[in-house]
Amino acid sequence: MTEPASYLTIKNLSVRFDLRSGPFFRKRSFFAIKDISLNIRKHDVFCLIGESGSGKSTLMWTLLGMHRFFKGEINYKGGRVERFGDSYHRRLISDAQMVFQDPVASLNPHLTLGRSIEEPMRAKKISRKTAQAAVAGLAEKTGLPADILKRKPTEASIGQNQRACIARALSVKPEILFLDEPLTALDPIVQTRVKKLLMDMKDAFGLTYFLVTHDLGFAKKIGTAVAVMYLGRIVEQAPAADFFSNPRHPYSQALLSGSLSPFVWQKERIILEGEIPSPHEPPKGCVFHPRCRNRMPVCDQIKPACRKPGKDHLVYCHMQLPDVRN
Amino acid sequence: MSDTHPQHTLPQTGALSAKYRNPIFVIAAVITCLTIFTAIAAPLLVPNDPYQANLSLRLAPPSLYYPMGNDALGRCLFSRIIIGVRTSIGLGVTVVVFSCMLGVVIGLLSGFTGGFVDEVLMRITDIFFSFPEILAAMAVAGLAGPGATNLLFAVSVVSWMRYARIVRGVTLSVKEREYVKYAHLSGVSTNSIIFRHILPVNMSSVIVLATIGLAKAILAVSSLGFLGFGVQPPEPELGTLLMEGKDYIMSAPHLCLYPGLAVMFPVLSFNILGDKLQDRFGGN
Amino acid sequence: MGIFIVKRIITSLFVLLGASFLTYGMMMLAPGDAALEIAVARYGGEDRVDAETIDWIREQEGLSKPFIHQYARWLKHVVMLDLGRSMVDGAPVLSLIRQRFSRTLELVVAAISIALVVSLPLGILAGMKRGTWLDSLCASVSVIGVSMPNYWLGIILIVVFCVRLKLLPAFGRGDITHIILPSITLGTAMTAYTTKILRNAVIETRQSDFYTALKARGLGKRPVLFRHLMKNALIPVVTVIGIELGMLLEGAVITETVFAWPGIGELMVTAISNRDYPLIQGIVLFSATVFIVINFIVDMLYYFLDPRIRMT
Repeated sequence: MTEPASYLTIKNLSVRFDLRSGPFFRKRSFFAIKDISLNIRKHDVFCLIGESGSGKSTLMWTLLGMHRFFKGEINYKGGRVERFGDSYHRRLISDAQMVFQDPVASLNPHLTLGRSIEEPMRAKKISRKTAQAAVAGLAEKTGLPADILKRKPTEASIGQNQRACIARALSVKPEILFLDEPLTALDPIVQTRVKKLLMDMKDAFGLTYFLVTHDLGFAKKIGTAVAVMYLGRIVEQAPAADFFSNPRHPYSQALLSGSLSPFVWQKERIILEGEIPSPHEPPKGCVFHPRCRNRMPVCDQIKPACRKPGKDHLVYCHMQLPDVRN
Repeated sequence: MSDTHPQHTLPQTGALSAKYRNPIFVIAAVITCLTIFTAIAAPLLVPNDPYQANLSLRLAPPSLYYPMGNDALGRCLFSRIIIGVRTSIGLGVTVVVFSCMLGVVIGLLSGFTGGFVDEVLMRITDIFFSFPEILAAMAVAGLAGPGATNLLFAVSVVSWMRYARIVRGVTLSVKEREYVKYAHLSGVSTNSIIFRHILPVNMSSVIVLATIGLAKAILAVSSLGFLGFGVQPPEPELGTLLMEGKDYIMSAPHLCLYPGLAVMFPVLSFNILGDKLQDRFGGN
Repeated sequence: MGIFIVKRIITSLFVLLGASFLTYGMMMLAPGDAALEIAVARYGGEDRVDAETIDWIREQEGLSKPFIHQYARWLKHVVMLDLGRSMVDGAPVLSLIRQRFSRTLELVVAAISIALVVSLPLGILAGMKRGTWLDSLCASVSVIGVSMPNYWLGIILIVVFCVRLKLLPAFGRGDITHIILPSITLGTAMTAYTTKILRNAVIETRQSDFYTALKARGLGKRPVLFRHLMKNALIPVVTVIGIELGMLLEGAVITETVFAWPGIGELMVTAISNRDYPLIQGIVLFSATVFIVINFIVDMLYYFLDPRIRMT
């Protein structure tokens, strides 16, 4: 059983935002994400972790065609996206679906949940009757009681709303599901149920997940590949098992150590000094160096090259760090 | 289970109807309905022929057969006022319909498209806003010539901007909402996005604006009629009735009193309605 | 901060330019031959002019050139403050406007004074004593004042005070008694509107967090609270005065017609009936300019009064 060599590959992707500020409409710009290279395989659960403002959402939105990319390549199923919005890009977008962080913001408050769920199907010209039958089936699969479908988002709980969003995303049988922190707005008991739902759905529909998350426990449980972002750059990428057992980059280690769950990190907490810098003024050299406790003189001069401590395990750091077996 | 606990409960029905039981609101609603009814059924409601001159009854005060007296040509003032209500309200409604449609379209275009189109349309809106309404309408109506069409054009041309501005603002903020982005991503057509997601949010503000706009339009139309623009005699219009009446202030003041009241009560009720709607919808 | 002022000035100038374009374009609405009209106005009658004279006038006034040329030519004159001459008596338009405008201004100032004198105490009181009969009374009077047609109020006042009571003169401009009725007529709508705004502003400030904090800190004494209240409530009043100044200019048109007050509104009505194009254009452009200037000043005032604006 051979899978296609590349499914979704990103090479040196950069997205620049222009700001109009200051007198006389002088343009100032900054890079929201820079030189990102990722390889996502079919049926992966690709987890993107990082703090707020690291550019995770921007990356996702760029893949989905909401931002123009400044430089770089996106390859989907062997086809290269030459221009933003061209036919390969559109193919990617039509095979993809999204689930957002805030279910209430992602649902039109004037529409019933049933109507919201059928919206993408209607957009693909599926007849109302077929769509409604599908909605009923999806509601069952996602654990939504049938009468909820007639309610509006404000009349249902957050958990139900999020499940409606998941049902909506699955309704058009996507290949890739992009999830932007789908659990963050939910309280713990609800989270558990939705986590289970996501895992079941993945298996049931054979989906590929692109999961942006804060929840490292969930990433460890469900993830097959992990990438860590800091200030718009990737600092480490690895298959999940490698990552969680042996995180190499100082930032990855700090992130994992911050997790409260012993499932994720058993050693003592690493506290980072300093504040996350503004993307308008990224530090020279390695962008993480001001806060890194393993800082070397070279770190503020030269950008770190990519090192490969293991198969498919990439780290962008000057130090060949000792193993931190977890 | 916390999962099934609804976030909001429906507002208590009792609280809702209490607001609507407010006496002022009720009176305004009643007057509004009466006005609309009069406007529609006017020809059936007149006791006498509004165009029938009767010189022997010139400037006669109110009497049994002529409840509001007679004008300078002996015509029944009451009948003329009833038709006048139809004319003035009709003109007002037409103005609101035109300017609302124009304003909403421009506002949607401006807000949704953004960028250069938005800048240009907003500048144009600003330019139109810089003219004092009545003065500009007067100039337009005066130059284009008498007649209802020119009057409608004149008043609409100075009234559309407030709809455009509000709609643009609402559209700009709705456009950024996640469910709109999602729809875009899922391939929902632009038309569908506008009609299902953006327009409904605008509706409450537009309705409030339109109600108050109707009050303003009726005042504008009748003011211009008073100055002699627009609908010409012998067609009765509440403003022109006052224009005719003001020549006889000394001898027949009733000719000035009643047409003005006929303008004031509908305008008053529309204003009250608009205010209450604004409280309810919290728009603007 | 200076940047803000400069940007606003540029915007205002641009709007002014656009307004001038529309003003000139308005002339296109008029049916009929402009050259003929000018000829008739100059020579007194259609039978007194022949085709040659009309053509000569057309050449002279550049009426056969494309619209843009005509507009540019007119604009050039306007920038040099030459608004042309009235077709009726040849008087320079700008001086006519200036003369009349000062009279309209008298009326407007009188109206604003009355409005402020009445609405300030009334609005503030209504805001303080929210929910009482006084408040409801003010609200009712307010909405009635806004709904009453300007022209009707004027006539009714004339009927009552001039015809029946014979107390005040009805028409024209003369001594101080002449200004009373027109300014009351003009000022009523503004009084109603300002009262409502003031009342709402007072209520909002009283409910605001910072005010409650002040009271909690024990600044119990009336005068201190009052001062804070006033400062905040005054901000919307300033903007309203600006907007209303504009509206008053409008309302003046009708009021002047009713009372035969020789102001700019009355001039406009005459100009229209005479089809005096240069005068019409001049008045429209002039009022638009006044409007734009008022808006600009209000924006500046608002910027200075409300520190929150400076953040944007």
